[in-house]
Amino acid sequence: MTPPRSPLEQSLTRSLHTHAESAPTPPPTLATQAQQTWHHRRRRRLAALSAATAAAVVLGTFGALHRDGPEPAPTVLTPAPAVPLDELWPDAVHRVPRTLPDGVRITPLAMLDRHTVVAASWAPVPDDWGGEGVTQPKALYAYDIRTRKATKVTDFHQPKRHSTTSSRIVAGDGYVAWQADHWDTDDSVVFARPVTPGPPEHRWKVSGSPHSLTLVNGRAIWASGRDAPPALSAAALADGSVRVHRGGVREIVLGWPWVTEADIPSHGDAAGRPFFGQRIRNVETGEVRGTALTAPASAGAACGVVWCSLGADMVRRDGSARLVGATAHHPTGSSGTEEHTEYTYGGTLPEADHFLVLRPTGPDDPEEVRDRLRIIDLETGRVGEAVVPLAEYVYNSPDSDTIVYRTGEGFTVIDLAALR
Amino acid sequence: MDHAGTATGESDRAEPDAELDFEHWVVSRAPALLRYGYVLTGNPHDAADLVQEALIRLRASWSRVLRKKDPEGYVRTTMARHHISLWRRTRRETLTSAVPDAPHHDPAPPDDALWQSLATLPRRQRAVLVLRYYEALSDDEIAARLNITRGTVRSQASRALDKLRAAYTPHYEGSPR
Repeated sequence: MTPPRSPLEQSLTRSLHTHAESAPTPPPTLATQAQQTWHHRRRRRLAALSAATAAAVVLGTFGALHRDGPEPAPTVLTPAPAVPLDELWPDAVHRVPRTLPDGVRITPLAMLDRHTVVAASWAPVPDDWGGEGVTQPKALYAYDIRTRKATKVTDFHQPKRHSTTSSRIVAGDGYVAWQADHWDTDDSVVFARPVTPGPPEHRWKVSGSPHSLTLVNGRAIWASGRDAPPALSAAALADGSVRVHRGGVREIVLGWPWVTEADIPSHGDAAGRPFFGQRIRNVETGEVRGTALTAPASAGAACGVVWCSLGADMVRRDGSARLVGATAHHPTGSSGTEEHTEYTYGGTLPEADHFLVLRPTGPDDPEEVRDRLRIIDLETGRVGEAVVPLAEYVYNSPDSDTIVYRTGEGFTVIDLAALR
Repeated sequence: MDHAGTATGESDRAEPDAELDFEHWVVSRAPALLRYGYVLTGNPHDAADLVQEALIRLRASWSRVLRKKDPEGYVRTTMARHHISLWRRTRRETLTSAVPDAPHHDPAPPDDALWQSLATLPRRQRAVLVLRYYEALSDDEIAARLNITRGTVRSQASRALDKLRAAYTPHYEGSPR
């Protein structure tokens, strides 16, 4: 054990142990649920394999799963054999250097368009009591992947006693925007400017823990509402004017203009209680959509605008297509050999409502397997693969359209929007 | 010729002894695993999801794991790696961090600001701190559990502690400022 060496470390130890006592109580059915889910997944996988064989479904293409009954049969998709990412999607895989010619080290954050990466340099910022403080962005850059040149967009601005994280910096619509959160309150400041050199063009003071910052259709959009009336705000990038839409519940932007209720259980249950993304609302038209998934089949489900996750399967919201066994037993290599590796996908939903980003996580996975990163295109079944050691930080942009990981002296940036 | 199982050669029959052993083990270890999941994730929903997923994987590997006599290590390693691999930006995780299904009463400890600040750390940094200061593992043990190098453990811990200093107010704990 590494003994606590400082008051901070001692406090941290105490805090972790104190808060651990607030952990949820295990439901009495926990073991049974795990058993049943394991059986269920296994049955589904085996049934899918049998169905795929019986229907002579060609790997990587759609085939029809014929069922008895009047309802239309969903299209069943199975993952194709994995091929290297940059062979499968050469126009979407980019390299970005870690160090610019002037010695500045940058981290890619998001794609502005198909050829511009927004990146940040970082520096420690002193805290109130003379400590080294937190690492914060120092400047924002636009890196052109065609010319391999970076342009400094702006020095990073935020008020004192505020901080930000990479997930609070977004790009799109020709602009970059970022959100600085107050250390002690639910107040934040949102900044925006075009991706051209100059100081921030807009600055909006926001309360109620804003989140879901998005740049779309000439507006900066955010939602708010923790300890404040729930609201969606749309700020015009042209003149800075803000329109606030008040609502009865806190909502989260799934993919503008679609929103869903935020404070709702992650996944469906067999009792049919509401689950995340089950009901979505189009803010601009007022259209409301449900899902074809109903209990008990919706147990374990969570939905984005188009795709729902259902354990190892992905199902379209309208039930029209299903990708089975996405997280296990992929065919691999050009021969399509079946292998027995369990994968897991990040978060609750597919990235960009279109891609499943997978990693093997079993402690016993062999060395040649455990560093795999696989991306499945849910619409086509194509599977791209890269080798990314777990130690190489992998993350994506807040809008889920960009995946970044370290490779050698630089970064690899995968532009998911370019794959659509 | 009669064949048990399916076209793939796998049988889906229940294994009564394995299931019984598995359920006994889960019942005995679930509270501790949920505490571990809670400090790893910072919210009850994700803790429950993380434990559930790890237990499903454990069930799939139960016989093999039992032979190695370390189901606890398997589950905790799976939980840590699974949590880190969930690299998807956590908009909604942040949103729902304080919204349990049932009323949930934190004791509001004096280190609450530190707990809140843990939510701002990248998952890997948080996991390193949890393994070091909650699980009391050495840096070598943390490296093995997360499949990273010892140097990465140290650098991640250092960066995470730097960030936490911004929220650390020893004044509230009675220390002179």
